[in-house]
Amino acid sequence: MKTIILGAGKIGTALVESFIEENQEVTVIDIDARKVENVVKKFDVKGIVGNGFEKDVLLEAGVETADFFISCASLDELNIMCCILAKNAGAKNTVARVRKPEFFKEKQNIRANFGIDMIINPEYRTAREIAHVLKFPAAISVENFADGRVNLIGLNIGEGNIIIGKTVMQVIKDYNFSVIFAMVKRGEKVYVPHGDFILEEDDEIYMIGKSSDLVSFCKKLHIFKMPVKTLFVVGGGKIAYYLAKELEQSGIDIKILESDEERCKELAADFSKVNVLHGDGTDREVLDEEDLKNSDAFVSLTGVDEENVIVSLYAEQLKVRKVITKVTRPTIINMVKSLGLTSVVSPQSVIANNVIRFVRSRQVEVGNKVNKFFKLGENAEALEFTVGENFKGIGVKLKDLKFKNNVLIGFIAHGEDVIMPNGNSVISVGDKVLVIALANQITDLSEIIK
Amino acid sequence: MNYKLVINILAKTFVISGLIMLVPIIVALIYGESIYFSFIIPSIVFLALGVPLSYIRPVEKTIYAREGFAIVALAWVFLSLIGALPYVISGEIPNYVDALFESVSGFTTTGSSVVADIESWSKSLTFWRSFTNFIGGMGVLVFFLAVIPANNQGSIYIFRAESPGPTASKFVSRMKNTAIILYAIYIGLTVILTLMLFFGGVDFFDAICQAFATAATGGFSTKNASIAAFDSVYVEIVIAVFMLLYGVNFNVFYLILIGKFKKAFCSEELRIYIIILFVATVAITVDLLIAGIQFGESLRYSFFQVTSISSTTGFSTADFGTWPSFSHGILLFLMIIGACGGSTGGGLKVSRITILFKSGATDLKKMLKPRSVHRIKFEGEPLDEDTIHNVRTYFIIWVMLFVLGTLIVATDSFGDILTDITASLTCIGNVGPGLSLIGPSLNFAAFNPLSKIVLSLLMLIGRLEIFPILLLFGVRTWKRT
Repeated sequence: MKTIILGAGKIGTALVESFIEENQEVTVIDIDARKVENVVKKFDVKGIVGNGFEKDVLLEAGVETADFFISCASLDELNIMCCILAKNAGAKNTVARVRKPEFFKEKQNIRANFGIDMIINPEYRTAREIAHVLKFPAAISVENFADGRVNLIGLNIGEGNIIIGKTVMQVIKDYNFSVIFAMVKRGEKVYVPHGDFILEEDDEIYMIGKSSDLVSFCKKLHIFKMPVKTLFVVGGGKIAYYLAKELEQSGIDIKILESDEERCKELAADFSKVNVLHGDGTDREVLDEEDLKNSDAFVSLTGVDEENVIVSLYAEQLKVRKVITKVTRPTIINMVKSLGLTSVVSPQSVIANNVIRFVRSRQVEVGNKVNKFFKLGENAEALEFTVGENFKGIGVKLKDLKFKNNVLIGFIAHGEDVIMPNGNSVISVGDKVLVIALANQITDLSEIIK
Repeated sequence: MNYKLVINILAKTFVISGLIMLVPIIVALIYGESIYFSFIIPSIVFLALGVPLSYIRPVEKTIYAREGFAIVALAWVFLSLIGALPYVISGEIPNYVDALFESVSGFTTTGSSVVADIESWSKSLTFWRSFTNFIGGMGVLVFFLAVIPANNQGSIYIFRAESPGPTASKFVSRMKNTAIILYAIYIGLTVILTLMLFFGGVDFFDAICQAFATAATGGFSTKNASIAAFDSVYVEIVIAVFMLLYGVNFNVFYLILIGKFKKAFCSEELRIYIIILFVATVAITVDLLIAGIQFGESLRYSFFQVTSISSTTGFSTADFGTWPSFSHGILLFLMIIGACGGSTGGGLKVSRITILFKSGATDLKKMLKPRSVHRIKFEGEPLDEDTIHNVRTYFIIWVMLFVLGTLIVATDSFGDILTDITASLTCIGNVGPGLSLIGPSLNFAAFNPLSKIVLSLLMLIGRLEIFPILLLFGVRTWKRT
């Protein structure tokens, strides 16, 4: 599979990394020689310095035979135009990054009229993810599956939690939960836990279940947090815009503190219910005066990672119940977490997940479509498939199927019902199925069976 | 200032005005009245000025803001000056200053009068008086823009200078077509109103004159007792509803015409206008009930008077001068607020009041939370700082002129400050009647000539939204570029 990525900025680089992990043949184009150099030094890719809008440059990159052409330069217009060119030159699938709200709201039109297969918007996706976490503040991350009926949430097992030292089986049995341990992240390593897996302090556990079941699970573990009613946001960029848009109808009282006055006016014009404040978000006095202390949740969305981390630490110190930190360099996420900031989002990894889902679903011509994709750490993933007719295990009880090692079925959504699977469960055509896999790259549902 | 251009366009409006002055002759012919000269002489004056001057051809044909203001202001001044002549020549108002007051009051759609007994006048002169309302309602220059074959570049400045409201917007891309649509709506509604009055049993001549005065929100009636003379609930309701309609931004009617009902009825200004009318009607009804008037009558009088004053028409069905002072207070507020922008009504305009309130509230919020940023929205759109600034400036100058007017009129020594205040207010707001000695059953004849001239100026200032008239007195306006 051949992929061309136009634009070697932060998003472009993050995409290159995920495509390399997917064992793709990648070519990177950027007009800035230094950026290309950086990518080529780090990854096994071909780099081309040049203007992606020039036909010769595209041909040199091999656009006629490319399976994927992804344009993530900084200008939306350029991305759209380059995708049109690439499609006409023969690229099979085109992906354009479109971030400006005024363009993004026309994404259906853009896709239909310009023959672009996918529109990616890291800012919008990040805002969605933050909104999910705010609706479930006990979690450090929330992923929706089966059209929002099932959640995959990450929880931090802090000091003294009652489940420390117990096995997964014990926890499930003791409390009679209808939730599933999908993954456990311990330091850098990720496990798909068996029944006798023993939980330790500081584990990040990833649970699958209906949200009501997950709420009672969190309550039993004494880590449940009340829903957020007031939200304090520092930084009024595009993510803040999309976040306010997502939460506009939720009844959450939103405050956005932004240092650029013109930007403040734009936001104030866009949202009549949002309280837009003009001031320096890194100034402690400003944060105190605007009553950060009494906010239920805090999100730092400035353009500078260091500022986000520092302000988040301050919010943490003030005991704000939920603190979410945005960082743009995925490499520092673990470092930031080690400082005690558990909820960290990065547009780069959000969008990489999004693109990989698209790539995987395009790789299978017929059969089982990938609806959703979630990646944890380097080698663990959760994929939601819609079951097609060619799946080998249709109608067979799960206990009679021979699964590969480190593969787990998270749920089976059959029509309106969502089943937390056991040995007697059966998969039928049209079901939505979540697969948790470790160290396996699954592009088709059939690959989970030996 | 591009003198040649100003003179050229003025000359053309003179020709049109000269032709308009011949319309009452048709009435004179129908009723066999012999006062042709009252109209022919002013018409000749207009044509004698207009025809030769229109041969002055400007080199530069683009109209800029300054020229727009000058053209509009001068056209209105000349129209008022010459439009007063029929009253003098016919001998009905022998004093020229009185005639000028009546003429200005007509064209600016104020409806204040110095005439005690209008019913004794000839039909054609009564028609002319009502007709001045009708011409002034939509504006003589908008008419000019509608009829001349091709518009100059920048004719939007003429439109803006003559159209009421904080923002004048074109309906369609061509100025000429916008002007035609405006006049079509204006005349269309007037025809409907005339027919409804006629079928309601009003004499055709009275119906058409009453319709003119209603359409322009002018208020010149053909009866001494105004609308009360018809003594008909039907007539009162029809006229009240139409006064309300003419007080609405014509943009709303245009949106209805092109089928965009939802957008038309979503208009924020329309909503606030209706709310103001509703609250005022209820308040006055209750006040009259307390004063001992029956519910049916209270509602009837209060609805009519509220629509009349708030649309700045100035018709009356009852002598509201005798009403309790709480009702007077409400009527005074309605005089200040006026109708919607882009209507034929006067006053400060509902849109301006709304913007003033919103910006005031925002400033108060900002005092409590200095860092919070707000964008004031009107009609769903964020307003830019310039518009808010203009509205505030307008308000301040409006108040200053109103106070100045009151002071000058107060030199008249009636010994009644309420008369002086409401005279100034009713004139700058283009309403018509005031309170106390200039209530609906009385008139302005007793003021001295200075007061009458000042009040005439206030009427012109109110109708043309201050700036064109004020800039006439500016030295810099007249400098060559």
